[in-house]
Amino acid sequence: MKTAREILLARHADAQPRLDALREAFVAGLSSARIAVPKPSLRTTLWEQLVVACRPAWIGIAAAWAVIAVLHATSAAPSADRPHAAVAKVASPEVEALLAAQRQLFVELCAPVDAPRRRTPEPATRPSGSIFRPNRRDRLAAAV
Amino acid sequence: MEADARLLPVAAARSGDPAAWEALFRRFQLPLYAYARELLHDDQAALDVVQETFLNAVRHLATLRDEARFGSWLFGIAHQRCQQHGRRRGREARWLAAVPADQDIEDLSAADDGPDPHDWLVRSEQEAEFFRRLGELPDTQREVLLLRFVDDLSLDEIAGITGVPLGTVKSRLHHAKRSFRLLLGPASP
Repeated sequence: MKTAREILLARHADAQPRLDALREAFVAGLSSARIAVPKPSLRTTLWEQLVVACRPAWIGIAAAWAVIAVLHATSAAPSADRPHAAVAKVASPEVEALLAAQRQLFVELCAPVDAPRRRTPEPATRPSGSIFRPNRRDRLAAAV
Repeated sequence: MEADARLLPVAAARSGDPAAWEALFRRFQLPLYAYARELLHDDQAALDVVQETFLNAVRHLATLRDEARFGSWLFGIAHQRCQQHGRRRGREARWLAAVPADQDIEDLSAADDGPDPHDWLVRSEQEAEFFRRLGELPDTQREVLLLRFVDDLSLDEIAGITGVPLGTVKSRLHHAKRSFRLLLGPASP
Protein backbone atom coordinates (compact mmCIF):
# COMPACT_ATOMS: atom_id res chain seq x y z
CA MET A 1 0.00 0.00 0.00
CA LYS A 2 1.16 3.48 -0.82
CA THR A 3 0.10 6.93 0.25
CA ALA A 4 -1.91 9.05 -2.16
CA ARG A 5 1.11 11.33 -2.60
CA GLU A 6 3.35 8.42 -3.54
CA ILE A 7 1.03 7.01 -6.18
CA LEU A 8 0.35 10.49 -7.54
CA LEU A 9 4.03 11.30 -7.95
CA ALA A 10 4.79 7.80 -9.25
CA ARG A 11 2.12 8.26 -11.90
CA HIS A 12 3.98 11.26 -13.27
CA ALA A 13 7.49 9.93 -12.83
CA ASP A 14 7.70 9.53 -16.61
CA ALA A 15 7.87 13.30 -16.92
CA GLN A 16 11.01 13.43 -14.79
CA PRO A 17 13.53 13.55 -17.72
CA ARG A 18 11.66 16.42 -19.34
CA LEU A 19 11.47 18.24 -16.02
CA ASP A 20 15.21 17.71 -15.54
CA ALA A 21 15.85 19.19 -18.97
CA LEU A 22 13.62 22.11 -18.10
CA ARG A 23 15.53 22.66 -14.86
CA GLU A 24 18.91 22.56 -16.58
CA ALA A 25 17.77 25.11 -19.13
CA PHE A 26 16.39 27.29 -16.37
CA VAL A 27 19.60 27.16 -14.32
CA ALA A 28 21.71 27.75 -17.43
CA GLY A 29 19.59 30.80 -18.14
CA LEU A 30 20.17 32.04 -14.61
CA SER A 31 23.91 31.46 -14.83
CA SER A 32 24.24 33.32 -18.09
CA ALA A 33 22.09 36.13 -16.65
CA ARG A 34 19.47 35.70 -19.34
CA ILE A 35 16.96 35.51 -16.54
CA ALA A 36 17.55 38.59 -14.44
CA VAL A 37 17.09 38.20 -10.72
CA PRO A 38 15.84 41.59 -9.60
CA LYS A 39 17.29 42.96 -6.39
CA PRO A 40 14.84 44.54 -4.02
CA SER A 41 14.71 48.31 -4.56
CA LEU A 42 15.67 50.81 -1.86
CA ARG A 43 12.02 51.75 -1.47
CA THR A 44 11.03 48.10 -1.02
CA THR A 45 13.83 47.56 1.46
CA LEU A 46 12.88 50.63 3.49
CA TRP A 47 9.23 49.68 3.42
CA GLU A 48 10.04 46.16 4.57
CA GLN A 49 12.46 47.17 7.30
CA LEU A 50 10.78 50.30 8.65
CA VAL A 51 7.10 49.52 8.26
CA VAL A 52 6.45 45.83 7.73
CA ALA A 53 9.04 44.61 10.22
CA CYS A 54 7.80 47.01 12.91
CA ARG A 55 4.14 46.48 12.23
CA PRO A 56 3.24 45.75 15.88
CA ALA A 57 4.97 48.96 16.98
CA TRP A 58 3.09 51.03 14.39
CA ILE A 59 -0.19 49.42 15.40
CA GLY A 60 0.59 50.24 19.04
CA ILE A 61 1.38 53.85 18.23
CA ALA A 62 -1.80 54.16 16.19
CA ALA A 63 -3.82 52.68 19.03
CA ALA A 64 -2.24 55.11 21.51
CA TRP A 65 -3.10 58.05 19.27
CA ALA A 66 -6.63 56.77 18.90
CA VAL A 67 -6.99 56.62 22.69
CA ILE A 68 -5.57 60.14 23.02
CA ALA A 69 -7.97 61.42 20.36
CA VAL A 70 -10.94 59.81 22.08
CA LEU A 71 -9.93 61.22 25.47
CA HIS A 72 -9.45 64.65 23.94
CA ALA A 73 -12.82 64.51 22.25
CA THR A 74 -14.63 63.41 25.41
CA SER A 75 -12.95 66.07 27.56
CA ALA A 76 -13.51 68.85 25.00
CA ALA A 77 -17.15 68.12 24.32
CA PRO A 78 -18.59 69.28 27.69
CA SER A 79 -16.53 72.49 27.61
CA ALA A 80 -18.60 73.61 24.65
CA ASP A 81 -21.58 73.77 26.99
CA ARG A 82 -19.59 75.25 29.77
CA PRO A 83 -19.88 79.01 28.86
CA HIS A 84 -23.54 78.84 29.76
CA ALA A 85 -22.68 77.15 33.01
CA ALA A 86 -20.00 79.73 33.69
CA VAL A 87 -22.39 82.61 33.01
CA ALA A 88 -24.96 81.01 35.23
CA LYS A 89 -22.37 80.61 37.93
CA VAL A 90 -21.22 84.24 37.65
CA ALA A 91 -24.79 85.42 37.60
CA SER A 92 -25.57 83.88 40.98
CA PRO A 93 -27.12 86.40 43.46
CA GLU A 94 -24.13 86.52 45.83
CA VAL A 95 -21.65 87.18 43.08
CA GLU A 96 -24.03 89.66 41.45
CA ALA A 97 -24.33 91.58 44.67
CA LEU A 98 -20.61 91.53 45.24
CA LEU A 99 -19.98 92.75 41.70
CA ALA A 100 -22.53 95.53 42.10
CA ALA A 101 -20.85 96.63 45.31
CA GLN A 102 -17.45 96.59 43.68
CA ARG A 103 -18.78 98.53 40.71
CA GLN A 104 -20.34 101.13 42.98
CA LEU A 105 -17.12 101.49 44.94
CA PHE A 106 -15.15 101.90 41.75
CA VAL A 107 -17.50 104.62 40.48
CA GLU A 108 -17.24 106.47 43.76
CA LEU A 109 -13.48 106.28 43.76
CA CYS A 110 -13.16 107.41 40.20
CA ALA A 111 -15.86 110.05 40.04
CA PRO A 112 -13.76 113.07 41.23
CA VAL A 113 -10.95 112.24 38.87
CA ASP A 114 -13.20 111.69 35.88
CA ALA A 115 -15.31 114.82 36.20
CA PRO A 116 -12.70 117.42 35.13
CA ARG A 117 -11.47 115.20 32.39
CA ARG A 118 -14.88 115.24 30.79
CA ARG A 119 -14.63 119.01 30.58
CA THR A 120 -11.40 119.05 28.62
CA PRO A 121 -11.91 120.74 25.27
CA GLU A 122 -12.28 118.56 22.22
CA PRO A 123 -10.45 119.80 19.14
CA ALA A 124 -13.31 118.82 16.83
CA THR A 125 -15.84 121.04 18.59
CA ARG A 126 -13.50 123.99 18.98
CA PRO A 127 -14.20 126.89 16.66
CA SER A 128 -11.53 128.50 14.62
CA GLY A 129 -8.82 130.29 16.48
CA SER A 130 -5.79 129.46 18.55
CA ILE A 131 -5.76 126.10 20.24
CA PHE A 132 -4.34 127.78 23.36
CA ARG A 133 -7.34 130.03 23.69
CA PRO A 134 -10.08 128.52 25.91
CA ASN A 135 -13.62 128.69 24.55
CA ARG A 136 -16.59 130.15 26.31
CA ARG A 137 -17.82 126.91 27.84
CA ASP A 138 -14.41 126.23 29.37
CA ARG A 139 -14.23 129.72 30.79
CA LEU A 140 -17.73 129.30 32.23
CA ALA A 141 -16.82 125.98 33.78
CA ALA A 142 -13.67 127.45 35.29
CA ALA A 143 -15.69 130.29 36.78
CA VAL A 144 -18.16 127.84 38.37
CA MET B 1 5.97 21.72 5.87
CA GLU B 2 7.38 24.58 7.96
CA ALA B 3 10.36 22.50 9.11
CA ASP B 4 10.97 21.37 5.53
CA ALA B 5 10.70 24.96 4.32
CA ARG B 6 13.42 26.12 6.71
CA LEU B 7 15.86 23.82 4.92
CA LEU B 8 15.14 25.37 1.54
CA PRO B 9 17.81 27.79 0.26
CA VAL B 10 15.37 30.62 -0.28
CA ALA B 11 17.69 33.28 1.11
CA ALA B 12 20.45 32.22 -1.28
CA ALA B 13 17.94 32.20 -4.13
CA ARG B 14 17.06 35.79 -3.30
CA SER B 15 20.62 36.76 -4.07
CA GLY B 16 20.37 34.99 -7.43
CA ASP B 17 22.47 31.94 -6.58
CA PRO B 18 21.89 29.43 -9.44
CA ALA B 19 22.69 26.45 -7.19
CA ALA B 20 19.95 27.52 -4.79
CA TRP B 21 17.49 27.86 -7.64
CA GLU B 22 18.45 24.44 -8.93
CA ALA B 23 17.78 22.93 -5.49
CA LEU B 24 14.41 24.65 -5.30
CA PHE B 25 13.50 23.58 -8.83
CA ARG B 26 14.51 19.99 -8.11
CA ARG B 27 12.46 19.94 -4.90
CA PHE B 28 9.26 21.27 -6.44
CA GLN B 29 9.37 20.23 -10.10
CA LEU B 30 7.48 16.94 -9.78
CA PRO B 31 4.82 18.10 -7.25
CA LEU B 32 4.15 21.16 -9.41
CA TYR B 33 3.98 19.06 -12.54
CA ALA B 34 1.63 16.49 -10.94
CA TYR B 35 -0.62 19.29 -9.67
CA ALA B 36 -0.80 21.02 -13.05
CA ARG B 37 -1.09 17.77 -15.03
CA GLU B 38 -4.00 16.48 -12.95
CA LEU B 39 -5.80 19.80 -13.29
CA LEU B 40 -5.16 20.48 -16.96
CA HIS B 41 -4.93 16.88 -18.34
CA ASP B 42 -2.25 18.08 -20.72
CA ASP B 43 1.46 17.14 -20.54
CA GLN B 44 2.78 20.13 -22.44
CA ALA B 45 0.59 22.61 -20.59
CA ALA B 46 1.78 21.15 -17.28
CA LEU B 47 5.42 21.55 -18.34
CA ASP B 48 4.70 25.12 -19.38
CA VAL B 49 3.13 25.78 -15.99
CA VAL B 50 6.24 24.49 -14.18
CA GLN B 51 8.51 26.65 -16.31
CA GLU B 52 6.37 29.76 -16.03
CA THR B 53 5.98 29.26 -12.30
CA PHE B 54 9.73 29.34 -11.78
CA LEU B 55 10.27 32.25 -14.14
CA ASN B 56 7.66 34.21 -12.18
CA ALA B 57 9.22 33.09 -8.92
CA VAL B 58 12.61 34.49 -10.00
CA ARG B 59 11.06 37.81 -10.93
CA HIS B 60 8.94 38.19 -7.82
CA LEU B 61 10.90 36.46 -5.07
CA ALA B 62 11.75 39.88 -3.57
CA THR B 63 8.06 40.28 -2.69
CA LEU B 64 7.96 37.07 -0.65
CA ARG B 65 7.82 38.14 3.00
CA ASP B 66 8.01 34.82 4.81
CA GLU B 67 10.62 32.45 3.42
CA ALA B 68 9.03 29.55 5.32
CA ARG B 69 6.02 29.92 3.05
CA PHE B 70 7.98 29.56 -0.17
CA GLY B 71 6.19 26.31 -1.08
CA SER B 72 2.67 27.66 -0.78
CA TRP B 73 3.76 30.87 -2.51
CA LEU B 74 5.10 28.81 -5.42
CA PHE B 75 1.89 26.80 -5.64
CA GLY B 76 -0.01 30.08 -5.61
CA ILE B 77 1.84 31.12 -8.76
CA ALA B 78 1.19 27.69 -10.30
CA HIS B 79 -2.50 28.04 -9.46
CA GLN B 80 -2.65 31.32 -11.39
CA ARG B 81 -0.80 29.84 -14.35
CA CYS B 82 -3.18 26.85 -14.40
CA GLN B 83 -6.15 29.20 -14.38
CA GLN B 84 -4.71 31.08 -17.35
CA HIS B 85 -4.13 27.85 -19.26
CA GLY B 86 -7.65 26.71 -18.35
CA ARG B 87 -9.11 29.96 -19.64
CA ARG B 88 -7.17 29.66 -22.86
CA ARG B 89 -8.79 26.34 -23.47
CA GLY B 90 -12.25 27.70 -22.89
CA ARG B 91 -12.74 25.93 -19.60
CA GLU B 92 -13.16 29.08 -17.58
CA ALA B 93 -16.81 28.50 -16.79
CA ARG B 94 -16.14 25.00 -15.50
CA TRP B 95 -13.01 26.04 -13.62
CA LEU B 96 -14.67 28.89 -11.84
CA ALA B 97 -18.01 27.17 -11.30
CA ALA B 98 -18.96 27.23 -7.65
CA VAL B 99 -19.74 23.92 -6.04
CA PRO B 100 -23.30 24.02 -4.61
CA ALA B 101 -22.20 22.21 -1.46
CA ASP B 102 -19.76 25.06 -0.67
CA GLN B 103 -22.45 26.64 1.48
CA ASP B 104 -22.51 24.04 4.28
CA ILE B 105 -19.43 25.38 5.99
CA GLU B 106 -20.38 25.32 9.65
CA ASP B 107 -21.73 21.78 9.62
CA LEU B 108 -18.73 20.45 7.79
CA SER B 109 -16.09 21.96 10.01
CA ALA B 110 -17.45 19.99 12.93
CA ALA B 111 -18.12 16.80 11.02
CA ASP B 112 -15.85 13.80 11.30
CA ASP B 113 -14.57 13.19 7.79
CA GLY B 114 -12.28 10.31 8.58
CA PRO B 115 -8.54 10.31 7.88
CA ASP B 116 -6.80 13.23 6.27
CA PRO B 117 -6.10 12.79 2.53
CA HIS B 118 -2.40 12.99 3.24
CA ASP B 119 -2.72 9.78 5.29
CA TRP B 120 -4.76 7.87 2.77
CA LEU B 121 -3.35 4.50 1.85
CA VAL B 122 -4.18 3.02 -1.53
CA ARG B 123 -3.74 -0.61 -2.53
CA SER B 124 -2.02 -1.19 -5.84
CA GLU B 125 -5.16 -2.81 -7.29
CA GLN B 126 -7.15 0.30 -6.31
CA GLU B 127 -4.90 2.81 -8.04
CA ALA B 128 -6.82 2.86 -11.32
CA GLU B 129 -10.08 3.43 -9.49
CA PHE B 130 -8.41 6.11 -7.34
CA PHE B 131 -7.35 8.09 -10.39
CA ARG B 132 -10.71 7.56 -12.09
CA ARG B 133 -12.50 9.09 -9.11
CA LEU B 134 -9.95 11.87 -8.86
CA GLY B 135 -10.59 12.72 -12.52
CA GLU B 136 -14.34 12.77 -11.98
CA LEU B 137 -14.20 15.32 -9.17
CA PRO B 138 -15.13 18.94 -9.94
CA ASP B 139 -12.00 21.02 -10.60
CA THR B 140 -12.39 23.04 -7.41
CA GLN B 141 -12.54 19.91 -5.22
CA ARG B 142 -9.78 18.15 -7.12
CA GLU B 143 -7.50 21.14 -6.72
CA VAL B 144 -7.89 21.21 -2.94
CA LEU B 145 -7.27 17.48 -2.74
CA LEU B 146 -4.18 17.70 -4.97
CA LEU B 147 -2.66 20.49 -2.93
CA ARG B 148 -3.17 18.36 0.16
CA PHE B 149 -1.62 15.31 -1.55
CA VAL B 150 1.35 16.70 -3.39
CA ASP B 151 2.86 19.02 -0.81
CA ASP B 152 0.94 18.49 2.42
CA LEU B 153 -0.17 22.10 2.45
CA SER B 154 -2.31 23.26 5.35
CA LEU B 155 -5.92 24.31 4.83
CA ASP B 156 -4.91 27.93 5.52
CA GLU B 157 -2.24 27.74 2.84
CA ILE B 158 -4.68 26.15 0.39
CA ALA B 159 -7.17 28.93 1.10
CA GLY B 160 -4.41 31.47 0.36
CA ILE B 161 -3.41 29.72 -2.85
CA THR B 162 -6.90 29.31 -4.24
CA GLY B 163 -8.14 32.67 -2.98
CA VAL B 164 -11.25 31.29 -1.26
CA PRO B 165 -12.28 31.40 2.42
CA LEU B 166 -11.08 28.69 4.76
CA GLY B 167 -14.63 27.39 5.24
CA THR B 168 -14.97 26.87 1.49
CA VAL B 169 -11.73 24.89 1.43
CA LYS B 170 -13.04 22.69 4.26
CA SER B 171 -16.28 22.20 2.40
CA ARG B 172 -14.55 21.24 -0.82
CA LEU B 173 -12.21 18.87 0.98
CA HIS B 174 -15.12 17.27 2.79
CA HIS B 175 -17.00 16.56 -0.43
CA ALA B 176 -13.88 15.33 -2.18
CA LYS B 177 -13.18 12.94 0.69
CA ARG B 178 -16.75 11.68 0.60
CA SER B 179 -16.24 10.64 -3.01
CA PHE B 180 -13.35 8.46 -1.91
CA ARG B 181 -14.89 7.11 1.28
CA LEU B 182 -16.24 3.91 -0.21
CA LEU B 183 -13.03 3.22 -2.05
CA LEU B 184 -10.68 3.87 0.84
CA GLY B 185 -12.90 3.10 3.80
CA PRO B 186 -11.85 -0.47 4.61
CA ALA B 187 -8.18 0.12 3.85
CA SER B 188 -7.67 3.47 5.57
CA PRO B 189 -6.32 3.52 9.12
